[in-house]
Formats: sequence, C-alpha cells, structure tokens
Amino acid sequence: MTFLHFSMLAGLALVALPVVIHLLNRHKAKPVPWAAMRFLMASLQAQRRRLLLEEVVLLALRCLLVAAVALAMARPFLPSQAAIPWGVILPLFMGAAICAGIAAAVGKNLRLRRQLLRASALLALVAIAAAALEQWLLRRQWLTPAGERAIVIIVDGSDSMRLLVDGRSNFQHAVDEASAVVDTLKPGDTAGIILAGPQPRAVGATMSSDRAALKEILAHRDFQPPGGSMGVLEAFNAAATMLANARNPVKKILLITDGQAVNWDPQSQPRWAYLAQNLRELDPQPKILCRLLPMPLTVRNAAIAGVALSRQIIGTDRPVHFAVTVQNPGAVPVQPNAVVFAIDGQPEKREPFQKELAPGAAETLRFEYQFPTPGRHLATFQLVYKDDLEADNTAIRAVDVLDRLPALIVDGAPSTRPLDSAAALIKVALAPVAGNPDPSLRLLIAPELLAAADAAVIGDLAKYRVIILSNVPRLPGPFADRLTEFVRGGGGLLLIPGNQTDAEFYNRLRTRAGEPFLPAVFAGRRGAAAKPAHLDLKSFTHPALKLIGDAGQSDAAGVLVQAWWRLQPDAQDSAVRVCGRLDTGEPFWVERQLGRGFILAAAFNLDTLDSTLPASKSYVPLLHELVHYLAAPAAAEPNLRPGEEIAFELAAGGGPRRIDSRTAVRAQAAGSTKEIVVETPAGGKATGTITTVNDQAIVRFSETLAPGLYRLQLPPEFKPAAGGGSLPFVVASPPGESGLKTLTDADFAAFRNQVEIFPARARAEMLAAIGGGIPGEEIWKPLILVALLAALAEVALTRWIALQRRLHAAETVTLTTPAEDLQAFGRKAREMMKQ
Amino acid sequence: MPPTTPTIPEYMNLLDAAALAKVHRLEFIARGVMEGFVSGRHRSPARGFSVEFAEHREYAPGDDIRDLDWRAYGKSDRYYIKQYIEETNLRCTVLLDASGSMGYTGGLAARRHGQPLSKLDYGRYLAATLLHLLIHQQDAVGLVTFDSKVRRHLPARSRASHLRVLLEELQLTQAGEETALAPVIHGIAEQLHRRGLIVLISDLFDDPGAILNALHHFRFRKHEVILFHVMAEEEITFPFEGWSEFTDLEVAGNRVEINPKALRATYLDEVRTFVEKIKKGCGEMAVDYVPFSTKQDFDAALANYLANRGRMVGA
Repeated sequence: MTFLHFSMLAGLALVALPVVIHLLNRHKAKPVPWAAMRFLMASLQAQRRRLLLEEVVLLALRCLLVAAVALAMARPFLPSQAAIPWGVILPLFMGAAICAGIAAAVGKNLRLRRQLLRASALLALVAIAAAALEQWLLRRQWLTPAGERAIVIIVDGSDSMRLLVDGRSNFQHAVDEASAVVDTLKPGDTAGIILAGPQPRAVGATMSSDRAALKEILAHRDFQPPGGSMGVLEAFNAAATMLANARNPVKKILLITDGQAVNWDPQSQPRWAYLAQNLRELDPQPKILCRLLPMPLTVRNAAIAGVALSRQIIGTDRPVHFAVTVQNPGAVPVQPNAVVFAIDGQPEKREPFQKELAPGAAETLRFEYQFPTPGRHLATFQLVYKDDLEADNTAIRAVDVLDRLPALIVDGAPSTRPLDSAAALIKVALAPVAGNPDPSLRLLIAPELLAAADAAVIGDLAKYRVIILSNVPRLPGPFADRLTEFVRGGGGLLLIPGNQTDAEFYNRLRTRAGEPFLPAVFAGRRGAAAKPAHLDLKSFTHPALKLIGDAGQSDAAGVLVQAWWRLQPDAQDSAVRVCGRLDTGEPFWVERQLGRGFILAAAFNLDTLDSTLPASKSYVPLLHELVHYLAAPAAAEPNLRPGEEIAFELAAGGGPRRIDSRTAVRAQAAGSTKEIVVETPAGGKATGTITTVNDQAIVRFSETLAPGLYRLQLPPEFKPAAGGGSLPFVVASPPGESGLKTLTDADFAAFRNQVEIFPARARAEMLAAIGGGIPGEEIWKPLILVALLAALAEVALTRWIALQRRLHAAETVTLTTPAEDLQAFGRKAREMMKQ
Repeated sequence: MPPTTPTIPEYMNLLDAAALAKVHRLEFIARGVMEGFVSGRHRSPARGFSVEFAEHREYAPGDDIRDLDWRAYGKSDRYYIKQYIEETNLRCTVLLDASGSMGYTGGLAARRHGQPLSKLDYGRYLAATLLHLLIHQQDAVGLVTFDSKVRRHLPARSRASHLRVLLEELQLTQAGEETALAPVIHGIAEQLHRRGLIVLISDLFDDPGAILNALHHFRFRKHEVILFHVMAEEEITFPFEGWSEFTDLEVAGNRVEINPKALRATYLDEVRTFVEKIKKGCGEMAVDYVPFSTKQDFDAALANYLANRGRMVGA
C-alpha cells in the first residue's frame, strides 16, 4: 500500500503531542514535603503495576488515535496488486505510535524510554520507506506514457451473469461498466468489444474510435449473454488478436465478469503460456484488467448436476436406468417440485421431489426406460422449480439405441456333436432364442459362429463389434494383424484359451508396434480334478464382472474349475489390469487396452470340460456383460464436453461409430468431402463436413464450445445410416457454472506467473486503471474507524480508571473519638427504628 | 528614667489567653486512682483519714489510739479504727512526639499569629494548655520530648514555677529525626515507676501493632493513658492535584513522583485502616483516643474533650 498525499504523513509528528503533554505534566511535578510517606508508599506498592499498565494503555491509545487520523489524512491507497501489503505498512505505523505511547508511560526508566522512542522512530521510518518504495514500484508498473489508447472490452456472457444483483442481472451491470469505460475514451482512443460466451465473438469486428457506435453496440437488443461458460483464455486470445492491428501506444484489455472460477484453469500453464506469448508479440504489451462484479450474496438455485446411464450399450431388448443428480449449488435451502423425464420431447414420467436440499447437498432420482425403437434418442430431464438461474434446470442426454450388436465367435476346436464345443455354448448363451419371430424376444447381440479357418478369410472385421476366440490354437499372421487393428479401432476381443491353445505361439505374438498381443503370458495349463479351484468373487471389481461378482444375485461362487491356464500379467505394464481371480490367487480375467479397444483374456475355456461355469445361472449374464463391455468403445459418444470435436463414422445398423481424430484427418485428405448444415443451440446454423472414402462416411464438426443441442443435417443418402432425419449431439454445460465459487487472490497470483493481470473490485478502480492511473482503492475509512474506536476506547478506559480510583467520590478519612462513634451509631440505630 | 515595658518571655506565646479562658473553667480529673503527695482532686489508692468515710478496720497494735472509734467500741465492745478515702494530687507526664513527621505544616492547618500550625506546633499548644490547667489544679506535671530517642525528660512536679521550665522546654523543641515510637515509649514506661496519667501527643506514624504494644506497657504499669492523635488535614483528605513529587520529612532522599489522584483512594484506605486499628486497640486497652486534625482550633477541640471527659468521669 501507499499514500496519495505523502506530505500529510508529516502529521504523524502529532503523535508526539500526547507524549509531550504527559512528559511536561511530569516535568512540572510540584515538590511536596510529606510526612505520611508510609501510607503513600504502601498504596503505591500495591498499585504500581496497575498504574503503569493503565498509563501504558491510555497513552498508547491516544498515540494510536492521533496516528490513525494522520494516516487517514494522508489518504492511504491499496493498489490491486500491492508489492508491500497493508498488513505490513499499517502495523508498522501503529507499532510506532504504540511504542511512542509506551515510552511516555515508562516513568523514570530513561534508558527504556530512549530505546522505545528509537524503536518508534525506526518503525515509522521503515513504514514510510516501504510506502514510498511501493509508490515508486506502482508508478513504474502502471503509469503509462501519455497517448492514444486501444482498449478491448470483454463482457462475460456466461450463464452465471444472468444472476440478479440489486434487481438487475450482472450482465446488465457489465454493460453499464463497459459504457462507463466508453465514456472515458478521448479523441484518438479506440476500443473493441468482445462478447465472451463459450466462444468469444467480436461485436463490431474492428477497433473503433466512435463512442456513439460503441455504445450502440452495447445497448443493442442482440447484445445478450450467449450462455454456457465463458471461454476465458479464448476471449483473451481474441482480444490480443484485435489489439494486434491497433497502432496506439497504449494497449489494454478489460474483462468485465462476475469472477466465477469456471474455465479459468489456473493449473493449465501451457494455455496461459500461449496467451502470454500472444501478448508479448504486441507492442506495447497490454495489461489485463478484470473488473470483478459482485456475485449475489444469496443465490437460490437448484441444478441438475449430472445424468448417468446404467449401461453404455443400449438396445431395445432391455430397459436402461438413468440416475439424475439434483444438486443445490446455491446458498439457501431449496425444494424443487419435481423432475420431468421426457424422451424425444414426449413426457414419460414426472417424479415429485420429496426432500429439501441444503446448500451443497445433492439427491439422486432414478428413471427406468426401455426404448422401443433403435436410433438416436434424446432424454430430457427438466427440474420443475423457479430459481435464480434457470439455465441449469434442464439436462439433455443423447442416447444411441442399437438395432443389433454383431459378434463373431471363432471356434478353434469345432465338434460334430451339438453344444460340445465352447464356441457353440457361447453362441447359444448370447442368442438363446435366435430365429424366434416374436420381436419382443429378439435380443440385441447377433452372434455368428465360424471355424477358425473360415474366420481368417473374412474381408471386413469392422462389421463386428466384438470377436470371441474360443480355444483357437493359432492365428494366421495377417489375421492377427487385422485383429490388432480391429481392437485399436474400438472393437472388443475376448480371448478364451482351451486345451488346444498353443501357448508359445500366443506368448510370442506381437502387434506391429511391437507390443505383446496377450494381456498376460500363458505360463502353463494346470489340471486338478481332485482339487478344483473356485472363483474369488470379491476380486471381481471389473465393471463387466460386477453383476456376477455380486454374491447376493450370482451362483458363480459354486463354480468348480478343474483345469485352467496360469496367467502371468506384466505388473509394470500400465495398459494391463487383472479383473478377477481364482481362489488360488491366480488371475482369472486379464485385460489389455490396445488403442481404444480392449482384449480380455480368460484363464480357462468356457466349456464343460474346464469348469462347471456353463452349467451355472451366471453363464449367460456373464457373457452378455462381457460383450456389452467390449462393444462400448466403438460407439460414438453423443454427449460431449464443450469444445470437444464431433467425429464419427456412419455404419448401417450399428449406429455412429467412434473414430479418432487422426483417422478422420487422414480420411478427409483422401476422400471427397461435402459440407453439412449443423443447427446450433442458439438456433443458428454452422457448417460441418462429411467425407466419403471407400465405403466409409466420416462426419466432423468442431464448433462445439456452446453447450446445448446440436443437430447435424445429413445428406439424404446417409439418413438411413444415421437412423433417419437429423442426428442430434449434446454438449453438456460445465458443472461449475451453477456454483458460486469465485476467483481468489491466489488464483490471480497464479495467473500473474504468466501474464500481467489485475483485479479491480470497484468502478472507480477500473476507470483509474483504464485511464492510466493505478488501480486500487483508498482505505481511509477503516482508518477513521480505527481512530473512532481508539477514541471510544480511550474515553471508556478513562471512565473505568476514574471509577476504579473512586475519583467521583469526595471521600476523606473522618477522625472521630470512640464516644462520637457511639453517638453516631445510636443516631443511625434510631433512624433505622423510625423506618 | 523611662518606664520599662515588661518583656513577655517567648515561651509564654504557647499559652493563648483565649484558649486558657475556654479550658480554665474546666478541670481535669483522672479517671482511675492516682498516687500523689498532697491532697488534690483525684482519688488516691491509699486509705487514710480525710473527709470522706471509707470503712472500719479492727485495731491492731501500732495503730494510733487517737483513731479509735469510741462510738463503735461503746456499741460492740471491740476496738475499731475508722478509715477515710484520701484524695491526692495527679502525676501527669506529657509525651510529645518531636519526630520529623511532626514537622509537617499543611496549608489547610489552623493558623496562629498568621502562620499555619505544624503538627508539632499543634502538639505544643495542646501540651502547654494542658500543663497549665493541671498545674493550676495542684497536680504534678512532667514532660518528655522524643523522636527516635528521648530528647528531654522533665519529671513531674507540682510547683507553679515548674510550668515555666516545661513551657521553655516546649518552646525549644524542634522537629527532629525519624520516629521510632514503640521503643521510646517502652523506655519511658520503664522510667515512670509511680502510677499516673500519661498524655501522648503524636501522629503515631509507626507500625500500629508496635505502638499499641507500647501503650499496653503503660497500662500494665497502671498508668492512665490519653492518646492525642494529631494529623494534618492534608493527611486525612489528600487533596493534591497534578503530578507531585512527595519528599519524606523523616528520611532524607526518600521521594516519589506520582499523580496523586491515581493513588488517593488507596492512600485514604491505608490511612483509614491505620486509624481504625489504633482506635480499636485503644478501646481494648481503655486508652482515651482523642484524634485532632490540625485544621481544627486546638483550644476548642481540647475544651470539647475535657468537657466530655468531665461528664463521663462524673457519671
């Protein structure tokens, strides 16, 4: 901190006034020859410490009072970014005043008095020097050369800016602040305005010196918050781009925001470093000023904080569960009325909300629904409640409902007898009612059983979502490579070894990149018919094994394993994890992630020779869970985070399939690309691409910063593949937008590691900084308060001391004889008798 | 030859005509029995032959036959001797504290000849007036002046000319050193063999327990004791304002710089406790405790005391 009127600090010399008055009083002490010294000394002995303490406190308070008034007259100033905080300078001044007060009270101990006076002077000098240094630093840092300014005003347009403060939204307050800044523009100054939603939008496109035009932009009815969360760094980078073309000698960026700590990302140093690099390239390098508008003190808000689905692969054959989390991110308790669940805009269920939610508390509601038709559907959850922030009362999730899930079962040991091989058992388990004409009994998984030799010559593995290798002795080299690519692309591979499996072959098998193919080494086959192993259900933590790992529902605990492969996973390999074990401690399932897909290896064959698992009730659910799990990575995610690119491959019947960005770019370069129309949440239209290469159709769209519903309008020829009509995608709001967490000084300190950014908490502070002054606020009011408190304390203490010393009572010692005492006693007794 | 103007000795200033007029019509009567040489106003411990009949005693060989009560012999045929209460004169010794503390002269003190009285002056006037009264009652009076030791001891005599000696001594007494009241009183008590009246005039600035113990010594020796406790008005009101440097009148170099208002309450508490302790101790020993403030006129205060005492003894 520093002082605006430095010369007024000379008033601190008045601190000496109470000291001098006190010392003069003592100096003028009248000599009194005295006889009753014994009584005087006795009372002094009893009171010495107390008298000293009273004097010390009283004089310290008087000096403090004078010092506080003198400091307030010097107009103390607290800059937004103080090199020396007020917590250092003010206590130094106060300490100096208190030392001076104590020095006056210490009586005749001249040495101590001298030391205290020296300490007082030293503290005052240090404080003055610190304040002067602060002023020098601030002038060097903030005072800009005179000249025309170029200012980019960024107005935060996030959802939280709709919150009302003093009857108006923070966005309206922000517009007022921006207008006030525009009013300060002088001839030659230029300004640009950016409306910062998830994606910054320069309003007016270029820097302008026309104040009327700038104010017209701010007052225009289309200048409304776009919603979602503000892309903070994107907005700053956009501002830097605007300033790059300005030729003004002074450049500044002003962000007007409520300071909600969403998307500021203080941990992401590379992003801030990128911004810093952009700013450094400007000449002169602009400083960033953040005008922080106050958040409302009490926000009544209920929000849908999340929607979770019970499974990733959804078909029409079984219901799915939605877990909807309703949270109170506000500051007062709330009780929403209900949550309405709708599918494709048609209300399905209204669940009343029974509980009051305390601030910070959350409650989960569950909805069950079985989709009747395949394709992409929209599940909407609407919180029925009137609160301060309505944007977070609705959550939409896009759900891909599959028509069929094709799975290939490769039989390595075919048998002529029905249901003799494991592969045949697996096929029956996956499709027990295959061929049944009743559509209600039709299951999602469509298995296809092939002998190993036939499977190796299949041209297109991509038409399958999951491949199961059952007791396959060896894999032809090209087939193994194709399997690897299949898994890398998101396909699932279930590897079930049996008595025919050539362990050495599989152990040597490597991908083209040199990675091991197997999740674990087949270290030898063990057979112990006399002493069979059991499944250790407690170790079944894998999501696909949770169902049969639940001892309350599953009979898997009674399964006997007579023969199994000893699996030895590489503990150092982070892509490998053990999903379940036998009760011998050996792994039962081991998983390896390869690209986006998974290879899951079992320890024993799923036939009746190796174990009694096929005879258990858990057999069918286990296989279904495994296939669903392995098929999930290939599905394109229809629910995205803001900024995440929409990129998928259209496949007939199986729904949109995920592809990685590299594949998409390669495909776009190789194939023919057409533009498609994308409807944005704001109701506007954007442009995406669809690329056709060979038989693939790859769709891309990257402008997904704004949360909400996007609809991709596909060309007619691709509509059947997409399930007909437009293809919706949902970009979810960041969860923090509902909360009240704001930026702290520590956050700004972290940002300042990269860029020069300073907060301004008042309009005057902002205008001072924009006008070339030093941003900060005067703090003379607290000092006047301190002076008043010191004055009150001084009066109270003086009164208290007077009471303690009985100054109000004009008492003396009355000398009486015993006879007079007796008479007085008699008089008093008579008076009492009369009463 | 020009007519010579009679010169009034300086010590006669101690006898104020107005004061003497106030107390002259009063008489000082001892409360207990007194040993003396001549008949006077006070009861003697000896039984003798005088005006007031006391009792009969059986004749014993050696008794003067002139004292036989022949009327009793006629009635009882036995020899009785008639006894009477003898009245004797009083032996009064005035002990005057002449320590440094008695030299304190407060601005609020009563004035004589335009000058405020110090505690010692006040005591001198009290002593002179009392001595004058007693000696005119034919009582024997003596004087002891002391500070840390006995300075002068004038034994009790009843001659009128003795008053001059006493007054001269009073006139010459000046405030001296530090008070050590208790040992001095013990010493005086040892020296006074015949029971009599002891009048102690002092500010008693010493340990109250030791003082009371010393007074008890007098009582043990059957003396009647009157304590004239003289204090300056400032010592019982402590009316000082503003920072002051108090200098000890008894111990040189003992000084303290204080704000008197800050200490007034506790100082007065100390004084009050001290006075109450002395008063209570005197009551327990049947010592007459008579406090004087130098602000009062000593003659009026003394006359008041003597009048009260006369009433109580008479009762």
